Amino acid sequence: MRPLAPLAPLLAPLLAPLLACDAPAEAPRAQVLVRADASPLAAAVTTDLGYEVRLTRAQLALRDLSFTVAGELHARGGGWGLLGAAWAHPGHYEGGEVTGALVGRILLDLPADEGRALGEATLLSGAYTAVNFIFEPLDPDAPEGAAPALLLEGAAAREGREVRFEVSVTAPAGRVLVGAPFEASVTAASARAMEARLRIELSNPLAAGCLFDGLDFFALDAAWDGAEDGAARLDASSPRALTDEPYLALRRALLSHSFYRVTWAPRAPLE
Amino acid sequence: MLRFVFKTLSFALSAAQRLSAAVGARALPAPLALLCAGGCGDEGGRGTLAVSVYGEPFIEEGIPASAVDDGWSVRFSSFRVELRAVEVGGARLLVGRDLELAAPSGGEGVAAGSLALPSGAHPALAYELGALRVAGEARHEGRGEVRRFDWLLDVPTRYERCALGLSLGSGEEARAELTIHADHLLYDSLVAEEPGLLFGPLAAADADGDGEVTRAELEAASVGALDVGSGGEVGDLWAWLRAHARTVGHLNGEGHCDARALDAEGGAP
Repeated sequence: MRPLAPLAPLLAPLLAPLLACDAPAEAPRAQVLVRADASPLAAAVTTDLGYEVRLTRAQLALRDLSFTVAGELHARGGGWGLLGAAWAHPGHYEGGEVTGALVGRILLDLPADEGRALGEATLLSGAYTAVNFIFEPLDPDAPEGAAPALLLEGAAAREGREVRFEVSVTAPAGRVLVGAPFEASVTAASARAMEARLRIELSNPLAAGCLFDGLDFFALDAAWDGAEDGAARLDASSPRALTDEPYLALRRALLSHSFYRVTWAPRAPLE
Repeated sequence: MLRFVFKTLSFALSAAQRLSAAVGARALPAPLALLCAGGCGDEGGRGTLAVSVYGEPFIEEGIPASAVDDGWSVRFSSFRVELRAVEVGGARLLVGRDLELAAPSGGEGVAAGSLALPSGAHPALAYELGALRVAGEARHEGRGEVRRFDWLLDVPTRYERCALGLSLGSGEEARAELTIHADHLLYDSLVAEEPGLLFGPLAAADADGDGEVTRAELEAASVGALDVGSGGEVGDLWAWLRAHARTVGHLNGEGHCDARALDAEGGAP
């Protein structure tokens, strides 16, 4: 059982109306179904180096999906709020006030999980702009920060040649992903007709570029695992993962908000 | 843990000064209040807030290897901060000069000036820093390596909503210390709540091996495995260093402020 104390800031906006004895009215809230969305994996993307890349599997473990409305979040001692102020560029979402949550661990295994209900989030009614979450190890028994939180498998093709790839990535313990886009006007009524769909994007939905830009897969075929055999593999535990810049660039992209998104779509019937 | 112990000791060394600032004029009312007895107050009651800038032992004495996670130690031959202004309520102290923080100050820091304030409660303080000029050398005793550096980090930043918590009586003088945390320049993450301290990535940027880590070398070096956070815009070590340089400002030791970039890079006016 995970202690709830660390979630207090996240849950406070939701619980406050219940705790305030003389609250004039309870804030309107909505129960939002959250589903896995594998649709970005259905199509290949073309990288800046001309590779056509298709993902055959993407695994991601996370916890405590939180939903934010537009607002200001301030830096404390060099936290990410400052980076929001200092490095944000138009079209990206930073910070915001948390007014919704789906608490608990989520393991996404795409495309196998396509359409799977991940849970029901509680959101205050409002105009939402972004979601946050915390990366978790894929292996629930592994220590945070030391075990992969993401696993990607796929293939990259160019000039009639194909390289299959398999790569895993760790996230620092407790690492929060802040500001993945989620644009929705949520009310109790809209939540009955709509649902939130969590997806990994292969192309940045807000700017030019794709997740695999800069990766020369033909070169990585030999470099990552020492064998030019049409397969490039790099595990997060490999010493090479500490220094290999193409791998580290991919890791930085996977730890950024540029390649995650929650869409607001008409609700599909529950199976 | 060692870093924590060191920082705790550092904190204790200047505890008296911090305490006096934290409680405002009440810690040092008599002599200073006497100086103002004839004219500092007015009928509505006024007091004075003396402002200093302090780099703590990390800047004046250096950051020891025991506080750094990869065996490097850092000494600053110069650590100059451009203090532009200090604000409390509607009162603004224009400073507009560079202050050298690397010289030993006995825990007093460098005086920046004073603000005349109406007596009463002053909950918050804001200040603006311009460029930081940071020069010195880092050593790794175990490997016998030395790196020199001399960096001009032009990162105009406003530190605001710093919790001052001052209750100023008429004729009293209080102190506020703008505390500069040099160890932030060695943080291994832009987002972690408890980041580690590393100099190794900066040392490794010395591409020509001449022992000096330059801006050009840092611009050419990737941030590698360092955690740049969810934004992902920081790609090279110079940008990395600039981002950390925007977080060094604090108040009265460990008091936090909201930091806002004042230049185009930050998108602020």
